[in-house]
Amino acid sequence: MENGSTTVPLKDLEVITDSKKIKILFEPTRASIVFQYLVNASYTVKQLSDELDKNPGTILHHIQKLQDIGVVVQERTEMTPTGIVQRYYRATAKEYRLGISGMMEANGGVAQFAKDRLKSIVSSLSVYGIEIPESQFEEAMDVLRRLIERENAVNSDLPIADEKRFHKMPSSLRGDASRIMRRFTLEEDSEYQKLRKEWHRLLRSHRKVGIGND
Amino acid sequence: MSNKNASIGVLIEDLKVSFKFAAKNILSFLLGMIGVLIVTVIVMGVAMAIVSVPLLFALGGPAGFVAFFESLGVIMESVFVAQPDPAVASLGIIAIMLLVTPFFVAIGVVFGMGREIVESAGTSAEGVFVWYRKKFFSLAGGGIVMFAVIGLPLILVYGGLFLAGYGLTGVPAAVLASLSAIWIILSSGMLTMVFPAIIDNYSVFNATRQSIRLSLRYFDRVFSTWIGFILIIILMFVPLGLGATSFVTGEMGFDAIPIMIYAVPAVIILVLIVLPALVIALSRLYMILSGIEVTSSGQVEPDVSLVGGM
Repeated sequence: MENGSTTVPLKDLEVITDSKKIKILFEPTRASIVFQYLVNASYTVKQLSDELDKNPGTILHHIQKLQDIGVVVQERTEMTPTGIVQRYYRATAKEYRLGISGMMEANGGVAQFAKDRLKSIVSSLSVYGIEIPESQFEEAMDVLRRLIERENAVNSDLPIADEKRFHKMPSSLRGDASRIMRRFTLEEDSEYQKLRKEWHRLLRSHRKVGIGND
Repeated sequence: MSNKNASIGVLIEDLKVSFKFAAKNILSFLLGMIGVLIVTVIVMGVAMAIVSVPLLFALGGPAGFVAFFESLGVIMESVFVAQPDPAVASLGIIAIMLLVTPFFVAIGVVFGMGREIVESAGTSAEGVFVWYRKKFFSLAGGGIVMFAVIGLPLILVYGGLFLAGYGLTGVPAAVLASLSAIWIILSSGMLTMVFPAIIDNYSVFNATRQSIRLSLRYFDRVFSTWIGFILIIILMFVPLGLGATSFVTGEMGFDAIPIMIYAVPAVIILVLIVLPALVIALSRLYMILSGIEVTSSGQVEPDVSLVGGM
């Protein structure tokens, strides 16, 4: 048994719904390691410690914690001419999203963060001329939450027929193919379509200025 | 990395790299080991206080406390020497094992430093305290498993002979001593990867399994390194061994002075260079043997996206 080896398949998108996992990923260094670096490429402890300006030991502890929750795996081992044995780690998915329901269940400020973020998203739409009144914030947040959760559920179920080839693809190509397939899958999901219509109706009803290409 | 198997060249390279890294990180190792030693003594002190303070009150003050340990001494002498009782002696061995557990942890955390050096060419003294805190119970468990696997068969054999009243001398004693030495080298060699595997986040059970698996699969690589270090340490202490022999036989004269002078740097080099190099070598070996070898895809295209978001 290898400890978190590359036998673990690379997912296109993973939605993390477990509140315990979400809490672990909420630690800023761990969040940077996964969302900023390991989803894009494989890194060694040394490289991550240089990038994040942290002690290699600290980075290794974070990596092990991330391995424990199945978000990070060991990819390969290489030896440098000076004799250093470099172990490369990668994320188990090309993209992660934190499940809003899971965040709402988590403690330690995560639930509040999720609620505040949803509110901020709704509120920030005003910069595009969509002014949702305070009295309708809860309704808008609820529709948006359900829409995001449905999108996450549909997209995280995207089947990959050729795992080996997917893993070998350059990340830009993988991203392009993934976006096309995600869009296609969402277009085919009736529940998502229903929620999207509801969301768009809400946006339209509060639109103050015209949006291009409409 | 292409070779997980042993050869003279690989062994020399392993030793060279390990000693180079040990010398480069001598200060971190020294400070780390001092720090761990202090913490270990404090942990043992606290553990003893937890046991002793209630005992002191229960036994009616210092006089009762002293009397208790005097009677304990008499019991221990009776159990281990005069009228050996295997059951009580086993309990005594378990108690001793628990008492030395913090030292197992102290040895284990040095492997944490070794791992940091192997992976990033450097370590810091304060890093050991993080390993101490995060892996305390796993390292303690690993140490107990190693002690039990290596030491228990010997305790059983020698204890059994002692209980049966056999005092081996001559050829049988030499044969038993040789077999014991072979067992110690073999079993400890099989368990050399336990601490590195625990540092690599394995549980005690899985680390033991991983160590045995790797040492069987890469027997030549593991044992050439392990025996290489044993030989280095033996060679370092051969002059001291000769000096000790003349000391025992009472033939020690002025000619023993160079040996005594040699002892000081030998012990310093052992503690500050050889043992850290051994830790680094084993950590590095573990990383190499448990690592995943893949061939590079050699991608040269620019990594640019053409399709926009949703």
